Amino acid sequence: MKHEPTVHVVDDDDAVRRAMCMLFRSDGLRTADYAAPDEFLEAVRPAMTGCIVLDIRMPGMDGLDLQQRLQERDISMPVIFLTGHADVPKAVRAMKQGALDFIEKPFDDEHLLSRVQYAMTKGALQRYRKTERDKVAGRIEQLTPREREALNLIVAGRTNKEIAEQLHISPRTVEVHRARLMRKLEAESLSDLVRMVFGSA
Amino acid sequence: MTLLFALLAGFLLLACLALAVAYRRLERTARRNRVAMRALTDTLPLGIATVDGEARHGYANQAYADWFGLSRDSLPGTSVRDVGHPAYSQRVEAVQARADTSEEASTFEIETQTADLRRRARVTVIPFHPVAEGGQPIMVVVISDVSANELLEARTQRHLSEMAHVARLATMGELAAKLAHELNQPLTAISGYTRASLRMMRSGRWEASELVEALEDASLQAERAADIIRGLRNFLRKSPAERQRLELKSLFEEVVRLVQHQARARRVEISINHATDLPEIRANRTEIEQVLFNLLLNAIEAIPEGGRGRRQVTLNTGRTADGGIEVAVADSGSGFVEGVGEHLYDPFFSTKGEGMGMGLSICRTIVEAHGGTLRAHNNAMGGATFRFTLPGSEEEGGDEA
Repeated sequence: MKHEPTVHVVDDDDAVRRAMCMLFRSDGLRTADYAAPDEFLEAVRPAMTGCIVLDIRMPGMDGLDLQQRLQERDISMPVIFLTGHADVPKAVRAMKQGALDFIEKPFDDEHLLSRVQYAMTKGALQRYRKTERDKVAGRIEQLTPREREALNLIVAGRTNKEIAEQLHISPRTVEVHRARLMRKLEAESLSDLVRMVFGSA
Repeated sequence: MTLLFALLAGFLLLACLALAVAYRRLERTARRNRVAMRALTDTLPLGIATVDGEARHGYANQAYADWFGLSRDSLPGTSVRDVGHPAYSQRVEAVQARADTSEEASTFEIETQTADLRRRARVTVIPFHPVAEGGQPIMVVVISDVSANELLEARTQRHLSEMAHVARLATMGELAAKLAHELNQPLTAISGYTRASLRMMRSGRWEASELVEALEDASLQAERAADIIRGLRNFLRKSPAERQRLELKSLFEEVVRLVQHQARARRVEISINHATDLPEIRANRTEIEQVLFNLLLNAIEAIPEGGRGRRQVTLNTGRTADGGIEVAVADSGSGFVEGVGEHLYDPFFSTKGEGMGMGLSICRTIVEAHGGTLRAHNNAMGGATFRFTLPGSEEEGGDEA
């Protein structure tokens, strides 16, 4: 199932939640809303994209606890917190836990929208990087131990001759390994290789 | 014969010796008893003395002598009149006059005034007829200082009133925080719905059904906010059934007593001028006390510390033309800045560093709920005056019916 980038709104106040969703839709964003943290925890999938807008004060599990649970489940969508009034200790904890932003109610609609749009972009970027990393990691898995050794030396900037000496093989064999691992990793140049290896680290 | 005489003499001698020994033992016991008695009476926080049939002091302890500012050793043998307290000696002599026929104790209160200390004491005079004194009555006087208790009570009372004030501020703080949170939700929703509707309409991408739904919900949220305000009003407005006839002079003096501590701490003098023809009014006692308490505290706090001018708060009461009362609290502070006047009664408006800004707002709510008015103006001679009126009881009764 394909997950479109979506703003996930979690707030126990029906009117506030619906009004926020409408505001996001008016800016061309797709929304999904949840009246309770549990409801969201049940629906959320690691493959979902977009961002999360969380009310910090909710009965039962509050926004901060929910943020922690999401991290435990490897949900990496950016989180924007909404709060009724400046609650400094909670704000500090939210930011320390990796929240993207902290917005006070009643909010300025332009400000909220610009922050949510930023979160969507950031979420998409994170998602892209993650897919790239996963792809490269999968390809590296297919290399033989010898090819992996050669790859490490190639990206460390060694020449074919140096690699041949270190691995006690002929420069000709190094050539063969290099061509094979380039094909397996779908890399077109040395710089592609470097980006893949360091990007997936 | 000689033998008989000698025997008799020996017997007499022995008897005398025995008597002497017995007498000395008795005397020792009596002395020990006196020492014990003295130690005991000196430890008690009571003045204790004995007075004989001619109203002369016998035994007196230190506390008794201290009470009249006399030396203890000079007391025995002096008349009760010599202590220089006619109210006291007259009452003791009255008990003494009927002591022959009655052993009933008499209790009365006396006061003494030393340099800056006024003390009150409860005196109990107990007459009785000791067998050994040949039927002559003796009286025991016990004096207990009650001013110490009253001082403690006054201190406790003042402490309580300060606590009540702090508690009221804390409650108000809680109330304000709760109110802010409660109003925030509907306001956020209304703002969200209307902004979203505007954006959709401006962009040209909208569906009538969605906008109708949004505006319907926004108006519901406005109603929700209004309900919160109504609830608050009902909470603040006490039912008129709690109103009672009030005697204002004593009520005002009571409140002035409550703020005296704060006034003294800031070296502010409070003077009261009551009109002689103050009418009775019907009002909620606690609320009127609160209004006056707030106005007096504000007035005291309006006088800057360290200033060189007069440090005076004046409370004037008077009768209004329509039979109500008017109360004016004037201070010798610096008055309020022009333009601030119109915000004085706004909730959360304060010119004080630690003020919540609820005092005058609450005062006005209370006064207006009673059918009166609260106004403020700067004095020509400096400082500000807060003036409130309350209608007379007949008019109020008519309103209630």
